[in-house]
Amino acid sequence: MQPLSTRTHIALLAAVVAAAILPALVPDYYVQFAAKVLILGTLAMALNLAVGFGGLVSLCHAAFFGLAGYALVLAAPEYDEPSLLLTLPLAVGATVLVALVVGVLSLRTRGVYFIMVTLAFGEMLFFLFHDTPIGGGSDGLFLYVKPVLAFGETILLDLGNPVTFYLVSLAAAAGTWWLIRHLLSTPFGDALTAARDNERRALALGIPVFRVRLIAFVLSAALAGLAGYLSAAQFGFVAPQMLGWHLSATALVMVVLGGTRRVAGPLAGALVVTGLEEVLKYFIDDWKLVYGLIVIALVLLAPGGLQDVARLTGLGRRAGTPALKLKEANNVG
Amino acid sequence: MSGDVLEARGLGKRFGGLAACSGVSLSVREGEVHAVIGPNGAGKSTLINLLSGDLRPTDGTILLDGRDVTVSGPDRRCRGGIGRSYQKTTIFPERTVFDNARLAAQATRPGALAMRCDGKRRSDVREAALAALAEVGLEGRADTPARSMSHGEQRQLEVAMVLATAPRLVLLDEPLAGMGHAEARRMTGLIASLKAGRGILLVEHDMDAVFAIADRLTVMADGKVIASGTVDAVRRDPVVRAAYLGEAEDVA
Repeated sequence: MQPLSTRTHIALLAAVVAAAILPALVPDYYVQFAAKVLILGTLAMALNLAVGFGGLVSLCHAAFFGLAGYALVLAAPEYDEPSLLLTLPLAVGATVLVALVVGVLSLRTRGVYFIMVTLAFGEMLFFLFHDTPIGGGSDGLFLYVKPVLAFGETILLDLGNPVTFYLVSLAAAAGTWWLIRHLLSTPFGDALTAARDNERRALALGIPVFRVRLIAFVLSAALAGLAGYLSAAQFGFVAPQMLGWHLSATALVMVVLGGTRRVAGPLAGALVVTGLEEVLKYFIDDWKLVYGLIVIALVLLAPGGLQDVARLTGLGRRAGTPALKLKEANNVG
Repeated sequence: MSGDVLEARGLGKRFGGLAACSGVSLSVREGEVHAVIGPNGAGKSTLINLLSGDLRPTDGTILLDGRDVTVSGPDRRCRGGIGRSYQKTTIFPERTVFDNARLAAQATRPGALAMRCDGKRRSDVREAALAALAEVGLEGRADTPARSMSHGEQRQLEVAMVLATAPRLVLLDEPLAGMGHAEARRMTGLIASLKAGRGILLVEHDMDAVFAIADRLTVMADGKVIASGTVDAVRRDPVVRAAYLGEAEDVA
């Protein structure tokens, strides 16, 4: 872990405090919107553990996201509060099991083949819920009562409360950020990025590349499952679209826009993508066309993601990453 | 033989109908440099890839310190004590010299995949990485990004990475390729110094270097061993002179 400088510490603290008191400052609608951004940001950060740090471009992370959502709704009693302590481990556990199978089979391939195999697995899960009655088919399922965390009779957390839900989403996003950041600082993280940078050398140094990638893939799926669980709880509804490649691709756009080399980059990507959609929907009827053009422009103009935008405008100067410093050093030399 | 670090018996590799390597038997003892020479396409690189686990043999057995490693993958062979360099320098160019060595030292030690401790703070890994850099003479370049070093230094770094994995056997695939005269001489000296406590298998085209540092020599042609023995014996071998050295001396 790069030791945080004092200035970064202060900025980080300010961001967390601002995020935490947000519900007191803005109308409910924006609190819900912020929770949505945080959930999609968690999904995108989770995906980036595989894509950016593992070098594994997965197109089935929406399937993990949706699977956990379905697991919550299917496990929930119809008219009673589902227990968070029961349903969350169940949903994430189900995701982990499926990710293990998908990972074992797809991690034998590389590059574009890996993308195609994960896409195929994602679509299989999509059609499993779309074409069979287990999850209400193409209509999806409703979750009538939101999960609660109760201790005896005392309700500690009620996800049906928008502010509580927002704070839980904030904790999930912050926790995901911290966990990935921590992981990258460990020997496991070294092994993962070494395998991404040069698989042959990693193997020749004794790193069990397949196992390392499988663990990272499953962890990344588990975090995507956490996001999917929260998403189902937020909208009280799951549909097969939650598992489809369309959402996988959107998450990938968030990752690419936010930049793959920083843990929090995809969170910023999620804010831009979701915010753009929100604004364009409001003003333009054919918003998807404009949205597409803007995304293309952003990718073309800032191929390194939003990090590059920050760097180009001088905002990113103070905390240049080692990789950037290295690039600059080389340009000089 | 008891002093053998590596023993290969009847090693063969077919790619479809092509036998890149067949019936190759050789051994590397502790404390020796065993050089493998031969014209292009003789199967030398295939042999190294078979020994390192990058390729799986179609025939034969590989014993490392008496243990059968024939079916192990490259990562397991490395953890078992086989380290290798590649013909094309294979390092992590975006990282610093120290980080390259640290990754190597960490990967073969207990806790290689630990998810708890901070990888950059482990003192045993740090010391092993610095010792490996010192052994190749790069201790002063620890903080340099690997990509901004010269070709020769990058090759030295690759050797340091191999050493940091604490190998019993070091496989070097044309370590002098593309080096200038001074660099090559330094590398030759380095290779000669590595053999204490280890076995070295060297594939190299530079005959001066081979004759200077090899204790034993194996000559390959068309995927087979045509001669093997001490450097002097092989140099006198008429088959070798005809097949290989004769041409080389004509060129020189």
